[in-house]
Amino acid sequence: MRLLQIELLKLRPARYFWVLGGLFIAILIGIPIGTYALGNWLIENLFPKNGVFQNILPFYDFADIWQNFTFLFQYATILLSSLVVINVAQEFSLSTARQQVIDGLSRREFFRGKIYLMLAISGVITSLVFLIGLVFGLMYSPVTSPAVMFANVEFIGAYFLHLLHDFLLAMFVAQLVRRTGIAVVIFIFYGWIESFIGALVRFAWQKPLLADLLPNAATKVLIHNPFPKYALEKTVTTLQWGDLAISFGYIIFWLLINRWLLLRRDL
Amino acid sequence: MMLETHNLSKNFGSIRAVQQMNLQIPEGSVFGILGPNGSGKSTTLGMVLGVVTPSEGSFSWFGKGDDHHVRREIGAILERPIFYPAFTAVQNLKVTAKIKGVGQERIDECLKLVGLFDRRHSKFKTYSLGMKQRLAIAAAMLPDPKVLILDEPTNGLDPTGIAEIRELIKDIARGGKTIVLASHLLDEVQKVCTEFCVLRSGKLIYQGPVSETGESLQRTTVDLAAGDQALDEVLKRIDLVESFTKMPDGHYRAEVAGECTAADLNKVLFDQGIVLSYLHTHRQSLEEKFLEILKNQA
Repeated sequence: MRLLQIELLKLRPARYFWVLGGLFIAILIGIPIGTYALGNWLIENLFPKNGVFQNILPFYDFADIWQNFTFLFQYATILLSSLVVINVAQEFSLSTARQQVIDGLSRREFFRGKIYLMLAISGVITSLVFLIGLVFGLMYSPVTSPAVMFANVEFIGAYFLHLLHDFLLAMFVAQLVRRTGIAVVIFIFYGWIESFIGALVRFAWQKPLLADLLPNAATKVLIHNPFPKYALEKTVTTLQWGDLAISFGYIIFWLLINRWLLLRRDL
Repeated sequence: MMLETHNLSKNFGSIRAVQQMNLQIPEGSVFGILGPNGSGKSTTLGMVLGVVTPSEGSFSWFGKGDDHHVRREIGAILERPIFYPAFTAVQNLKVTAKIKGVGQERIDECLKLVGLFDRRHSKFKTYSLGMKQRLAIAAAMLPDPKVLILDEPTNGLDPTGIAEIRELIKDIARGGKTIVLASHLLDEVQKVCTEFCVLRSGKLIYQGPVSETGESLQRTTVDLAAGDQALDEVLKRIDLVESFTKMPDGHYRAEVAGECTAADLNKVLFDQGIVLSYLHTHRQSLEEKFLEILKNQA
C-alpha cells in the first residue's frame, strides 16, 4: 500500500496524467454515445421510415454489449499506455528513479510500485468500463434479466488483461529507451510496425497463427471483432482458452523482462 | 564504522572507474572525499547508495551490510538536485517523505531550515540553481539523518550561492551529524572537514585527518624583496632559511624552518643590514598537499 501511495503522490500533480486520463475517459463515454448518434444518423439516412438504431442493430443488447464495448475501447488504450510510457520513462530521464533509490527505496520496491500502479489503473478502468456497459445496457437493452445481463461478462476480465499487457509492454519500451519523448514515439510506432509485420505474416506468408502471436495482436485477439456477426458472418463470440494462455504467457514474460532490466542496469 | 567498503570496484566496459576501494568512514566525522573530476567519487558514492551495481566487492553501512532500509536514514545528494520539475517544493518533498517514512510535518520544518518556506508552492523548475541545491538539502534533512552525503554541493553556484550552501553545511555539521562531502574543491574540504581521503583514477591514494596535514606536513614559505639590494648572499648565510629561489618578478621565495615566524626572519635580516620592502608568509594549504599527493602518485 505504501508503494502505491508513493506512486500516486508522483502521479497526482502531473499534468500528463490528467490530460491523458481525462481524454481516455471522455472517449470511453464518447464511444457509446457517438455510436448511438452515428447509428441513428446512418439509419435515418439509409432507411428513412424505420425506427431508431438500437431496435435494428443489437449494439447495446446485454450479453453482446460486453464484447462490443471492450472491442471498441481497445483502440483507446494507446492513450493510457502512453501515460505509462511517460510515467516510467520520466523516472529515468529525470533521474528521479535514481534519487528515489538513494532516498531509500529498493529497486525491487520501485518495480513493485510501478506494477501496483498498473494493476490499480487497470482495475479502476476495468470497473469503469463495466459500469459504462451496465448503464448503457440498462438504458437501451431490450433484455435486462440478470442471467442474460451477465452472460459474456468475462470480456470485462479480458479487457483487464489487455490493459495490463499493454502497460507492461509500455514499461518495457520506457525502460529500454529511457527518454520520455523518444519512448512515446517508439511505442506508438511499434503498434504500427507490429500491425504491418502482422499483415505481412498473415497474408503474404499465409501464417495467421504466427501473426496472432505478436505481442499486441496476442492481447487484441482475446477480444475478437464482434461486428461481422451483424452481417451474418461467422464470428468468435466467447473467450478462447488458447488466447488466454497466450495473453498470460506474455504478461509473465514482460513482467520478468521488466524486472530483470530494472534490477540489473545502473540507474 | 559508519561505512566500510571492501575491494569495491566498478568497470564501465573497459574503463575501470573504481578499483579495489577500501574505504572506512568513522561515525561522527566530517569526511571529505577529494579528487579531480572523473576520479571515481560519484561512482563510489553511487555504489554505496544502491544506484550503481558494483562489478566486484562489497560495502556495509553501520555494520549491517547493503540494506536499503539504512538509506532511509541517510540524506544524500549525488551530483545535482533531482526533483520533478513541474511539481512544487511541497509536492516533491511529499514523495521523499513518503519514501523515507517521515511524517508530513517535517516538510515545513526542513523548508524553513533552508529558507525556502516562502517559495514552497513554486514549481521546482522556477528555482535558481542555489534554491534547487537548498531544496535538495531540505529533502536530505527530512528524516533527521544520521549521515548527510553531499556530492559537489556547490558545483555551478555563484559566489553568494556557494557561501550560502557552505554556511548551511557548517550549521548542520555543528549539529553533530556525520557528513560526507565529495568535492574537487580543496578549500571547501579544508574549511569543513575533519578527515579526508584522496581519490585518483578510481584508486584511494590517501586517507588521514585534515589537522595532521595542517601541522606535521605543513611548511612555511616566505616571499620577500628588499628594493634593489641583492638578497642572494645574505639568504645563503642565514640558518633559518632552508632553501630559496629567485622568482621571475625579482622576489625571493624562501622555505624556512618550521618554527620560524616572519618577525624572526625580518629581525635577522635587519641585523644583516637588509631592510625589507616586501614580506609575505604563506602556509602550505591542503590544496598544495593534495597536488603534491597527486604528483607523487603520477
